[in-house]
Amino acid sequence: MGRDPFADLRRWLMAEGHDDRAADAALRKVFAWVPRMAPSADFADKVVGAAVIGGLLTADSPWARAWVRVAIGLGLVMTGLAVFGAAVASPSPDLSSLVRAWVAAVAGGAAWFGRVLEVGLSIWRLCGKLGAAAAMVAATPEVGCVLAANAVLALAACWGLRRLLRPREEMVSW
Amino acid sequence: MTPTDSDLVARARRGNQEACREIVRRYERPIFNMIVRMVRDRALAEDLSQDTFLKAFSRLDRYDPAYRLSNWLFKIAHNTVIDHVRKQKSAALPIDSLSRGEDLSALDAGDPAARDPIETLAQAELARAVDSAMASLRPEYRQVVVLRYQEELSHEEIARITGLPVGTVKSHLHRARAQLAVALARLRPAEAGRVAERTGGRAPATGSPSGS
Repeated sequence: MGRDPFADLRRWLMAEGHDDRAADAALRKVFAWVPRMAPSADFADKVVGAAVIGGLLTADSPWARAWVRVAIGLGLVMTGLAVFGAAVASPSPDLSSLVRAWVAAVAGGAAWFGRVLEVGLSIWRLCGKLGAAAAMVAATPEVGCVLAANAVLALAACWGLRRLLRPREEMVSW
Repeated sequence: MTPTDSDLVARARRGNQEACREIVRRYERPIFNMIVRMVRDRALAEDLSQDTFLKAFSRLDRYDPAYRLSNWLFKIAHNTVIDHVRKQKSAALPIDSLSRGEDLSALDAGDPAARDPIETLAQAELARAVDSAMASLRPEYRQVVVLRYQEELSHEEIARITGLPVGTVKSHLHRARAQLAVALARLRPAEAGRVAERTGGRAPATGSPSGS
């Protein structure tokens, strides 16, 4: 790259059509005068923001910062000390009442879970009955053929659509 | 110490935002420059550049460090532009927010204060002339010219990025140079006679692809 851009341009134009290699080299010198175009100043931030929104990157977690971890650790230590202090200062709790409450809570939870399971199973039983009724109607050769043909058509349509929509990007194989 | 591309990619694979930001900062200019030269629309080029980086981030596990990161990004950018053109159902790319005199002011011409003002003016004039001449080329010619003469890539690298055979790349470059010479000589009448004499007076072709 000399001092005069147009001298480089003239050198290239003189070489062009005469000497392919010289013209190639001379045009590089011309383009050295042509700056690259730049995107907007906040382009990198926009891209990273879009990547976070799109789920490609996780947002910078505040938990990851060292001072936050230290603060949480200190908080836990202080809480532990406070609980320990309260336990030492107060009379010992009635252990049997605690066990009774725990057993009652577990038993109540198990009963509730059983009821929920019963409702869920009854829905499945209903679905099963509906399916059996439909199968009684559909279990003829004609309906079977129509359903099979429909399935084949749907598969073919899916395959064709996938081929049409497949972006070139998927072909990148570096 | 500046982290290498491999370091940045390794960190970006783990979801490190700062590494991703650094990758974008490192390559935003060449990627945007190639795309804007192809589509000649700044807003669209910025969108497509963003798509390029987002696709790259979503496929970092496919990146092979044996290849240059820039070339991998160029290939994704190329495919992104081609996909866009296909979706627009038009081989004709948008005409030209740039050739209407947009935005040579947005070109980074280095530090003008550090340079001779006459040289700076001459550079701006040359950049404008080259930009106008580039506008007369077909998009695929513009792309190979940018990759060869601005990014200084080899024919083989350009072939890999564009998916064209090396011979076709050379042929595109040869034709693009001839057309650029004629277009630039038109803008610089002093050169017109000599160039027209050598190129047989051919005007810049804007017709159908040669398919070489």
